[in-house]
Amino acid sequence: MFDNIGSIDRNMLCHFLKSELPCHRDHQSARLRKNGVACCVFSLALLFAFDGRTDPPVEARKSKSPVTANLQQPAVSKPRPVLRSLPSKKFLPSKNLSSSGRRNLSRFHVAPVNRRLSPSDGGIPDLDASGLIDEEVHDDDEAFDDVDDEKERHQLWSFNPPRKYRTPATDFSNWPRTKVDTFVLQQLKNAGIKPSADTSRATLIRRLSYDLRGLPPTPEEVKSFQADARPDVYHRLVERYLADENFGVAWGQYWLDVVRYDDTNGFEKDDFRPNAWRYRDYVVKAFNTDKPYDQFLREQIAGDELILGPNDPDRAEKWIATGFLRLGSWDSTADIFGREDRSRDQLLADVVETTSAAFLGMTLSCARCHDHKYDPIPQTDYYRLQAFFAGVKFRDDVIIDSPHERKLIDHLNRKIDADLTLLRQQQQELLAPVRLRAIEARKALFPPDILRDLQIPEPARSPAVQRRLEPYLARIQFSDSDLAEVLSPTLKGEYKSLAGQIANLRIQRKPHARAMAMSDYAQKIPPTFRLDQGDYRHPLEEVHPGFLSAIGSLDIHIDTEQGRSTSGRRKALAEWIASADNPLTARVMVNRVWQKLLGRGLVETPNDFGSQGTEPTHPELLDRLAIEFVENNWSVKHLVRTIVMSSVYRQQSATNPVATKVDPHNRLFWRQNVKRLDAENLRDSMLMVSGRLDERFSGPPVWPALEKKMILERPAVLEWVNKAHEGRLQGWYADPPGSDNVRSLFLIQKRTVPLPFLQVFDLPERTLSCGRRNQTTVAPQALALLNSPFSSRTALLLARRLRSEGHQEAPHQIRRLYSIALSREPDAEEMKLCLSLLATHEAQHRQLNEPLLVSTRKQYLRKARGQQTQMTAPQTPLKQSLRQVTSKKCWTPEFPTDDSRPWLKRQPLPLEQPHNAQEAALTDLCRLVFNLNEFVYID
Amino acid sequence: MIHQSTTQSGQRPDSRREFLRKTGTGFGTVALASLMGRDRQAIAAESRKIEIDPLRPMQVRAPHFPPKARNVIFLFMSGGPSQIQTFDYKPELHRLDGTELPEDIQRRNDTIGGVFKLCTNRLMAPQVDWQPHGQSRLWISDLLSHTAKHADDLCVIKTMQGESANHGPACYLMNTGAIVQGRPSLGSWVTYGLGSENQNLPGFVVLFKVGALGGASNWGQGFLPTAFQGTRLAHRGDLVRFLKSASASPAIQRSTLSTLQQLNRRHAQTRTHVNDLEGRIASYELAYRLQSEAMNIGDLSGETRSTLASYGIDEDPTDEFARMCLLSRRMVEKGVRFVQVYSAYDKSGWDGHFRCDDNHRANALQTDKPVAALLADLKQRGLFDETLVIWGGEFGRTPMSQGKTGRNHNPYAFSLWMAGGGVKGGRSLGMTDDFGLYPETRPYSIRDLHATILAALGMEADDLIFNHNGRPERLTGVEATAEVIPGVLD
Repeated sequence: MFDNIGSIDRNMLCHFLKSELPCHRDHQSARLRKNGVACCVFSLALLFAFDGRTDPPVEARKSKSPVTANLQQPAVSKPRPVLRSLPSKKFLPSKNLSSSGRRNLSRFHVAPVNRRLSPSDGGIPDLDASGLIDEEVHDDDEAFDDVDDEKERHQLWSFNPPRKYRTPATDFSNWPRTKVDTFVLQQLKNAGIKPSADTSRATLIRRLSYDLRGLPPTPEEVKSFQADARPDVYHRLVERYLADENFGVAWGQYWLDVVRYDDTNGFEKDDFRPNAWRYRDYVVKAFNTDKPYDQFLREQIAGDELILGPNDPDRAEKWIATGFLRLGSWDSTADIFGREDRSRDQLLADVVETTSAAFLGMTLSCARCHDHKYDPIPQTDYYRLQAFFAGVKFRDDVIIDSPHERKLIDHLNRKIDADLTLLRQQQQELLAPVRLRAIEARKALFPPDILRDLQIPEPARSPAVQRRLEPYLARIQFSDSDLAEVLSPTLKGEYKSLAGQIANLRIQRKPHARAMAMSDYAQKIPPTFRLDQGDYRHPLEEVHPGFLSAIGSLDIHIDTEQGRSTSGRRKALAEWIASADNPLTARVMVNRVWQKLLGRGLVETPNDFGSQGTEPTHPELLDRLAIEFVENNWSVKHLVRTIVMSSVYRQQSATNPVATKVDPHNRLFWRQNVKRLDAENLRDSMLMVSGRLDERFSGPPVWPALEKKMILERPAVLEWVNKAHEGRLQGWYADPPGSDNVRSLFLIQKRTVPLPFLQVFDLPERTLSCGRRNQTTVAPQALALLNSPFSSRTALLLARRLRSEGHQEAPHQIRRLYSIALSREPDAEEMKLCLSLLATHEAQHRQLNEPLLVSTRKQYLRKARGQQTQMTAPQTPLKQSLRQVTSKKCWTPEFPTDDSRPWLKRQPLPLEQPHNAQEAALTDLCRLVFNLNEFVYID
Repeated sequence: MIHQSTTQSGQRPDSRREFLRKTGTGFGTVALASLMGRDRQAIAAESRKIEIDPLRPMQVRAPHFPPKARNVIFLFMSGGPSQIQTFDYKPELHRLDGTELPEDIQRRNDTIGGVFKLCTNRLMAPQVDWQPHGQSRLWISDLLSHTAKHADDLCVIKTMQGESANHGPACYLMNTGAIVQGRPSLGSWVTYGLGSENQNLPGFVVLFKVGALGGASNWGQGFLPTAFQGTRLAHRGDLVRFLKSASASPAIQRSTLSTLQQLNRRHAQTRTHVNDLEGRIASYELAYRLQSEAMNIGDLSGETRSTLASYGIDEDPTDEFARMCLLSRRMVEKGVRFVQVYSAYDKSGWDGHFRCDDNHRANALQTDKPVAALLADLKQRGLFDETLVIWGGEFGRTPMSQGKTGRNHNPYAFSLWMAGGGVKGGRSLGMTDDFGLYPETRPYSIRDLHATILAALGMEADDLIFNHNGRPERLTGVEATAEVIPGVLD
């Protein structure tokens, strides 16, 4: 009987079985192999016969949860506390906590050293080795929420307020350093896994440096960290890196993924957004100054509504922050085709969905068309949330200079304008006689009746006369430039010098700094409707602003005092999201931070805390961190510090067979995860180790020079090249070659022209909120690292750096190379391999390429000279203006529409060649090091 | 022929119906009833769940049912070619040339919007002659006289309907199924579903001189893994970016790579748990193979003179598009799953807002001959039956004039044809009104088109799913309303 099902799909059955039976996967497949399909069909039949339900069993639906699916010990997989309710007010920290409860976790107790030796450190005392669990690790008597409570709790875990769980008592008592560790350890204990030992100092500093700054440590930093015997050396390092400006760059970049940041509009024209970068700077600064996260999010949603009068010192920031609402892609051609309503519909959808994904970790897109299938979000909720934004309008006119700056600029400009008027008058005086002559000459050709009519003063002319005169009037209009052509040589010279002065003065006019901002109307806000199937053309009933019904109170308070210039709606929403009572906000951010530091979040789906996302692996820890995050004034730096100071963070990333068997995917964090550098950090690291990374932490985006070919294959840019654009900023405004040695965060991000080197390393499409980047390993990445001009250039620069630092001997060079690029010394085998490569390559270069090298060098020199002439050509006013423009803090580019566009001429620098065979061989080695897995993956 | 070895060996999942029929005889009716009662779709979807191995994302994956086509060549006519100048013959329009569009038609709800805003109400007949072609007597304008030779192979759909009259959204819609930016493109979905036969070349290739309006998002992978992003290959010079070795000599490249791999292996030895490391080591070997394979594919010296001439290579004005068409054949031949070619030589392509007749003549001259040569070449090499060829733009154009000589965009009813793998040729599906403005018969959405393409490749659109941010995402939308266009494949 079973013969005829021999060809049915075994995988399919496997899928069934996996979801239904608690048996082990390998076991299953073994059984499949052994007994054929029959047995499986039988179990399947049994199962359904037994159950008889039409819905898939609960366990089956939940089988995707990583905890249940992949950990083989049920005791580990379901470490859920009994979920009972408690009044959400208890979550408010200030009411229930003793002073000790609010104690700052950053004050780490330093216990006597020498208790613990980390295996790879060769006897150097371990860091901050608090060998015993001290009172900082243990909880005092505080108010804890881990008592059972009668009220029913929400089915969806994330909708219940976080509870403050008591730190569990633990074994391995010399392991936990912080409360974080006790929570992790408890689960490890349940699973019978031991945590890993501390990693070596060299690895630790490299890890920390990348996690906090996105850059490798310098060899000097590594050396001094390794040599420092003070017990708090690690803590000091953490503090130093937290204070480094690169912290804001690394974490800002992380945030920009979440808020879909780009510098251009996207769609057909992909226009540049001249002021978007101010939002990027705002984010970098927010992380650097540790702006409380609740304030950070309030400002982004409703900064304009939070401004405390014109003298609010944070006025500019608050306006800039609302750029968050503008970051989605935007079709600037919509108005041409009369489809503004659709654009608006898309804008509102983008804002609602990004806001909910970024701050609440909820995916609302489903609820746009129908009630959410899985989460308790009815369709009405979607539109109630959208109603908060119903009145939004773009604001590009907001001047963000301080009143003082503004006064200064106005004063300066008035003065310039006065001078300009004067100069223009002088020009006109020069032209006046010529103009008169020209008019007279023309008039001589007019018929007499026209001449007669022209005598009539304009107001007195009848419409018929005026109409008849019009073509003649047009003929006695002469442009200044035409007239200037017929001036006598002397006067012409005078005229030109005046024109030059005018041009110079015009450049000196300083524009006011403006923000790419969003605000809304106070009155006459368009009504919001629930839409049939999400189609804006089919409105159903009207809805009013309201929070997610499952977690929010339905009545909201919108501040509608008289005289407001805005509706107050977004402020109400921001307050609700930023409220300590919101069960999602703090958890979501805590999870993002954890994910960045440990390689995977406590909730694996950072943008989805709904039922389709994964449940937290450590719910108590997540809650505890969330509560303390709020207690510590929503300080991200504090949270980062809390985590990186823990033993969990400091573990080795090496595997161990016992733990692997129980928890192959390290969901319990029994080791640190190996993390791959993302696109930007990879590029930045290459620049940094080559010694060419420019320090720059703000300012307008840098446009790297691209090959002309690349520009000409993009329709939007091509249109601009062909001058068919109508004042749109569609172009590629290349900066002078070499000015792009900045951290990648400050490079232009043009939606339709992603930078090739970065794109290949999994740069996300920044059109939707991205909580976690994809990670793929494909051949084009290898090609980019091996062959791209960027790779070649930085390799050569690094080789020259090694040589110029006085390391002439190959072994020295190799040692230095390893310590610069990999933060360690090479071992004997590596040394041997590298030496042999240098020797053979040098010989080959000498033998093969000596004549070639000379000729390419000549070629290069020729090219470079060509470049030089171009670069040192007399500065036209335009170039000056560009330079000024890009170096100014207050920059609203006024892109000239005339023909002289230096951007078009700027091409990438020709590839420089090594000077000699030795340098060439060393360059090969440096290129190789960039390609090492060790360079790209951080232990 | 399409290789069905997978079916024979029993590895490939059968269709759901097949599964149920076969298993139905195998076990008790109670269980069956229970099974039938369960959400069937969930069963099928579960069985068709795709696990991507990050180290071999392009490995071949079995389709849902026996496919009719293995590969796709999508000839994207950028800018929006006019249906009434190509495949939708409207004799009435010639009679009414210069008259006003009847009022009742004007008043029809311009639901997509934007069409009438830039248009006059004056009907304008195209300056082109029409003939019926082939046994099927398919009407094709003389602009496309080369393509017309293959009339009996074409299935022309005349009632394609878009959702936007703007280029950007309309291109995104055609390529990703949504008018907004950022969703995975058709080629990404296809390679996500099926992988690609050739592991040394990208599975989803994009060719163009000037890319689609709306840029890279048209071949973007959206929320799918980056491996499924369309790779733009150049049709001149280096095929792949960064392909040319930066090492001074092949020997130096080899020795660099060999030392690199040695060091990488040592590093990986103590980190066996990090799969990526092995994958990355493998990727360098792949890169090496990609280098040689891509060099080969770009080298046209093996093509006969007559082949080159038939495409119009090295001739004005066909050269650019001819090279891209020939390359697509060469890639399909090598097992590249999805090739997309964009027609435009400049920013506007078929976008005839002014002097539409001249614009279309120029575009037809550039593309018609290469397209016909591609079809002939595929046939000659026995690739035609397993390659689905699609020709079409983001929308059509209005029968009313814009200004005196131009035509505005018309997303309501435009023509698109399919040919090759599984397509019933010599057919014309759907009818438009007398002017070619609105559909008279049922309009087909782009989602329907996508479902049809997936069906030709052996995939059920509803079951090609990627879970993203808690949503079961599909190319054809989460609502799963797309239908395979009747008459194309059956």
